Amino acid sequence: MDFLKAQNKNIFREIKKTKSRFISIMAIVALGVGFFSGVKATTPSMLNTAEKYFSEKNLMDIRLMSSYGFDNDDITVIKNTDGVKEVMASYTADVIEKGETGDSVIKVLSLCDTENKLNSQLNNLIVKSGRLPEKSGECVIDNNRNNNKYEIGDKITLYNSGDTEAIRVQEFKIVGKVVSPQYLSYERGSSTIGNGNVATYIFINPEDFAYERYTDVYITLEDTQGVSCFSDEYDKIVDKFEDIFLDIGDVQCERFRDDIISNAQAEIDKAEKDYLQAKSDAETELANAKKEIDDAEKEYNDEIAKAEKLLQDSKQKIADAKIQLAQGEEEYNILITETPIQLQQAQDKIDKGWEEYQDAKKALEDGISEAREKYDNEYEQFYFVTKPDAEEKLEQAEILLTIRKSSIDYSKQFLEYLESRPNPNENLINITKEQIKSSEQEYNSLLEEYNSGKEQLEQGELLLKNAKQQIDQEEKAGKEELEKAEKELRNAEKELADGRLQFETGKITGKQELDKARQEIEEGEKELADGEKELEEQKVNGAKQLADAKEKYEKAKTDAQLQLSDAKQQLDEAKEEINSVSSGKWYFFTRDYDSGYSRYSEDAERVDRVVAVFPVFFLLVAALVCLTTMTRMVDEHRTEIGTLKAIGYSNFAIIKKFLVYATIACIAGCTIGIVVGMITLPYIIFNTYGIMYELTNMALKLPWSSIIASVIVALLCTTFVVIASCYKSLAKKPSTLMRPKAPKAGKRILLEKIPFLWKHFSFISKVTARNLFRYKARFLMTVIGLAGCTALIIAGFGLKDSIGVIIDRQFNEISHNNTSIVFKNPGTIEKKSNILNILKNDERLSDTLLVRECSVKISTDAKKDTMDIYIVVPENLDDFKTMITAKDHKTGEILTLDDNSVIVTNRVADVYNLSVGDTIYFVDEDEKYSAKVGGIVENYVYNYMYMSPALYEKTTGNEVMYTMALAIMKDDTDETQRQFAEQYLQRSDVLSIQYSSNIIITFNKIIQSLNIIVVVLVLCAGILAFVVLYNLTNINLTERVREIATIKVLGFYNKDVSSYVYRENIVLTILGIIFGTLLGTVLEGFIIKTIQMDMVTFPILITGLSYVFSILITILFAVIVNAFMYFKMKKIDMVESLKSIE
Amino acid sequence: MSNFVEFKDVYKRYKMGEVEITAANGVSFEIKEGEFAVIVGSSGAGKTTVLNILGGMDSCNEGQVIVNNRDISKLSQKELATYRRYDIGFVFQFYNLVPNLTAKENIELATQICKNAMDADIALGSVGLSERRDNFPSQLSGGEQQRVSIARALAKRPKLLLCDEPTGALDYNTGKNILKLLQDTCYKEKMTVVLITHNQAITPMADRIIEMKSGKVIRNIINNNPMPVEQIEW
Repeated sequence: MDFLKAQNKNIFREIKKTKSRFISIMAIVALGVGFFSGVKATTPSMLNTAEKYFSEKNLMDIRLMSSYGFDNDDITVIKNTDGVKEVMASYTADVIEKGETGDSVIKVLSLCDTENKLNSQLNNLIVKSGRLPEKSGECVIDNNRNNNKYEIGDKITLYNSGDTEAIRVQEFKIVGKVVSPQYLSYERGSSTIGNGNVATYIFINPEDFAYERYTDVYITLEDTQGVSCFSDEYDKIVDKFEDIFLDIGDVQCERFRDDIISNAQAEIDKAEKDYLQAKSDAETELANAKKEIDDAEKEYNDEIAKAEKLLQDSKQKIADAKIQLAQGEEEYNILITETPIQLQQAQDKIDKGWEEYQDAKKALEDGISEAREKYDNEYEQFYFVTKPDAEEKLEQAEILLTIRKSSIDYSKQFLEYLESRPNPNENLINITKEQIKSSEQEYNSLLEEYNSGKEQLEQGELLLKNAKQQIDQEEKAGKEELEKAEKELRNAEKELADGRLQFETGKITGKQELDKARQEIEEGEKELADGEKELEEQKVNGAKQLADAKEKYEKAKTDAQLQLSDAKQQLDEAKEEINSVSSGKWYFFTRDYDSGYSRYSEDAERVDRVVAVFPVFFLLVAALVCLTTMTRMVDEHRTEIGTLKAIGYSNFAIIKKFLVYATIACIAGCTIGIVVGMITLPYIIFNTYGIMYELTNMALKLPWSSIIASVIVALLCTTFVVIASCYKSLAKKPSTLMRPKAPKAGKRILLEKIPFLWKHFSFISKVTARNLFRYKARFLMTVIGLAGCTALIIAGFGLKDSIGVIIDRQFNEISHNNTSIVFKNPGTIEKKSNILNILKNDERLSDTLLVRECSVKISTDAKKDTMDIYIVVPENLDDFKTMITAKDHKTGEILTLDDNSVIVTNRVADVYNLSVGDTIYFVDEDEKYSAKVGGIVENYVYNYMYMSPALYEKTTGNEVMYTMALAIMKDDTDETQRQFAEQYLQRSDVLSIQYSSNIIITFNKIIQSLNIIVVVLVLCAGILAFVVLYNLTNINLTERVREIATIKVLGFYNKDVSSYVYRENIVLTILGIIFGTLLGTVLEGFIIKTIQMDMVTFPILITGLSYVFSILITILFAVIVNAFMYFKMKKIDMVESLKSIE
Repeated sequence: MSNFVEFKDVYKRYKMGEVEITAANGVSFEIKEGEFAVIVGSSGAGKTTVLNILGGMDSCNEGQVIVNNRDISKLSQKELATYRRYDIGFVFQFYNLVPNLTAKENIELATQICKNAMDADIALGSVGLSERRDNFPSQLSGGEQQRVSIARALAKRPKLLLCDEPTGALDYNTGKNILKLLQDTCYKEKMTVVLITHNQAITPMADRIIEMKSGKVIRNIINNNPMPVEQIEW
């Protein structure tokens, strides 16, 4: 017991001492086991989650629909059928919600009609928010995350589509948001109304439906309880009921035949009335259109005539203007030649005037000066001669006068004296008197003389004065006259100058005016030309427009005729149909009806298949890591083993320590791995798919068998490794073991036999080369680990490449049609000619081709198992080439369909191992036929067999009944698609419109979900690379610590030392990458083969870029590990490491 | 003659868990150029610590270590590597040959990083192992391995040859041969050799005997009449 205690102590001390070794074993085991069990848990957990969800929500197993609906009688019959557990009859209708961007289709479902005692509660809803409807006019809506536009409390208004009254209430108030188990994915399916796509669904109370009869019956079965709905058993149970219910349906439907016929007859009558109405409407419309066109033509002609007249007028105007211009030019020319002459004449006149003026001036001046001279003489004569003489005489006369006067005065005074004396002497008085008298006489005569003299003088003066005055006057008058003449001349000159100026300006302005007139004419002419041109253009345009209008009219006419005849035909067909009306039919659907449901299990299983291969690497690498680590451990314990052996312990007792050590590490690793694996991988992958599915939280299902298997494998690996490595040591004698450990002997390697190469190796290279071959297990571990790392990444990227390329190859290189118009009933080419013509006339489509495309079961002599593929019989082979490029799957050569053999797609050939010339059987309309394979073509989505119509008719003996038309829509935008679908879905002979773009969207979702798988792979690959490289470097470092210390002592720098150690890593990494690239290529091929689905064929493909990325990522991992190890290496202590060996 | 090696109050302390061990507790001594010095002492006396410090493999906590007029106690890791590369030759008790290289290659491992190295064949010849040049260490006896180790040390033409118990793992005669080789090299090449041993018996062959005890030098004696190895018996 003590020994055991000691042993146990020994083991635990050992673990404590060699933590990193213990951890590395534990980690790799954890990684391998964890990854394996985690991946293995994913698929069962995903399926389990869905199963649990379905059973919790009591999801129906079967859904029945009927062309005529169900009544309680039907339901009772169904419920009483053996094996039926519960039924729920309900209503479904597709209605229209009008929106700004167009109408959308809403699927309306009824809640359980609890009034009806036959009903049980099935397909229970999950109320995400709000509550369920309680009264009429309330609804709950789809909680789809793409459905943000509706909120609780909003009201939506719905319209019945067509004539059928599906719902009696139009406005619904949203009271809650729900998830229905009937929809597993976020796809809401297609519809036969509106744009053909169901946008969302709502649930309403059953009484809000207007239907008299139930539209759907949901059924659960007794036998399916507790059976996994993804199992074959389940399918078997459910499939059994198909015939049962269809038979019941036939019986039940018979009852309604008469009703239907009478109702239908009424409808046809109405339709006929409508048709006739439409016909007359169309005729009136066409007549109106014709009238409009005629009016337009008349107007056109009038307008043209008017315009031509206008042009003519302007032409005349221009001609007139030209004449005027010529006249103007002439006038101008005259003006400029004659005016200077006139001006010259005026100048001459003026010059002459001046001359005359000068003469007159001179004459005047001469006359005046002569007059003045004469006057001056006379003046002189008068004043210097005459006047003084006269004045002298006058003075003398004055004096005489004065004397006489005085003598007179004296005589008078004497007389007075005499008279005054008293005895006057009269004689004397008389004498005196006499004397006075004579004197006075004398005096008077003297005075008279004097006065006349004076007068004469004065007269002379006056004469002179007058003469002067006269001269002055004459001068003045002369001068005035001259001035006048001068002024006149000046005026004339000014006038002349003005005339000149006027002439010059006149010349310029005249010229300008002429130029302007000329220019105007030119412009006028240009305008005229333009006008003419425009008229021509307008004439052409008008004519063209008229022609267009006429053409349009003709087209409209043909269209209308076509439509009318189409309507007529439809009417006739309907009439015909009514006569051959079947008694209705029940339709049987399983849960597969929801496309998400069937895809879910495929997706879940794909995870398993894609990732299942990877854990193999991890287990392999785990075994190798354990091997190298444990070998190293046993080596280190040589002495101990030897000592124990020498003491006398049994081999088992010695091994026990190592076994226990390894087992503890392994069990710890398994535990950690399983726990971590279980709580991460399934959830990560499940949540990735959560993007596409509406599911509740995951219900983890532990894959016990996988867990146990992986733990056993891990334990076996480690114990085997321990025993194997101990065995080698134990076989030796104790004495050998106790001797100091002989380092593994150096050995010459093959390379050294080639001295040429070897000589060129540096020491580090030599050591590297020898080390590589010395430790084969490590070599293998590292190369496998790194190859695994590279391979995983390549596989991940390759997977993406393969799936990513499908869309492009299938929809760009192979099928060129992007639209399929599926007919309600198949028909012969005559029956379908109408719709074909309409489609051919539709401008949105560039090519149209009728095909018979339907599912057939095929088999061969070698393989009896049938497979459902599509047979495609095109209406003609030329258009078929436009729609589908048939490329040989190997050579890429373009194959043509002929009348002797069929062409099958590559997946069919793979499954049945077919080659050209083989015979293939197919079942069409319940008859089995055979055909010869004439070609195998590349194809990715769905599987087809192409057959020419002639061969089809020859083989089956039937006329080809076309089921759909393939078309190429020129501009396949959402808007055009929506409009197109809306238009055609109104037709009674069109069932649905399918667009390739919808498939493309689905594929893009798958690719998205693959991204996370790639990330998981890269992550795992990274961990793998880390573990392996870390282990290798770690072992190398611990084992060769003396060697490294030695070279450090020798004076190697850190970088020398690291390259000494890394050289090996680098070589191994490169080798690993090379092998990994090869392995990855193989692995990707393998994965692609495993995940092949019936519906989709994945090409095996890896792009160059993926290789480059994978290699770079691997190198990056290696670099990171090496960088990390650099520090560890730097820390190696020379002194410690070189201490004597224990 | 000047002091080629000089230790001045060198302290070296190690932490072993919670206990601090002073391996060199104020060591001071000197060795002249061309001397054959033996550091002798019992296990744990601190002689290996001294040798490691002298060889640039370890550094001291306090004090100065002067080699060839340079204080190596202050050198960086990189400078120490250069010091080891050009100035020091090391001979270990367990030879420390690279097992993956032949005898000649082991020598070349040292010579390829040295500027002024001896030719590997000459070095091998000088230890008398020319005919074993292409053998791996595992194919050689202990003495032969040690001779290769000495040849590797000598091939670098170091200024100082340090030997850590070179005869510890060898039998008596082989050990003697090795000591002889070292002594001869010292005299012929005028190389300073420092050898550590716990074996007092071999001290008479040295020019200088440094005795250590408990991390201290207790004696540093100059032996003016070193004995040839052949005459020493133990």
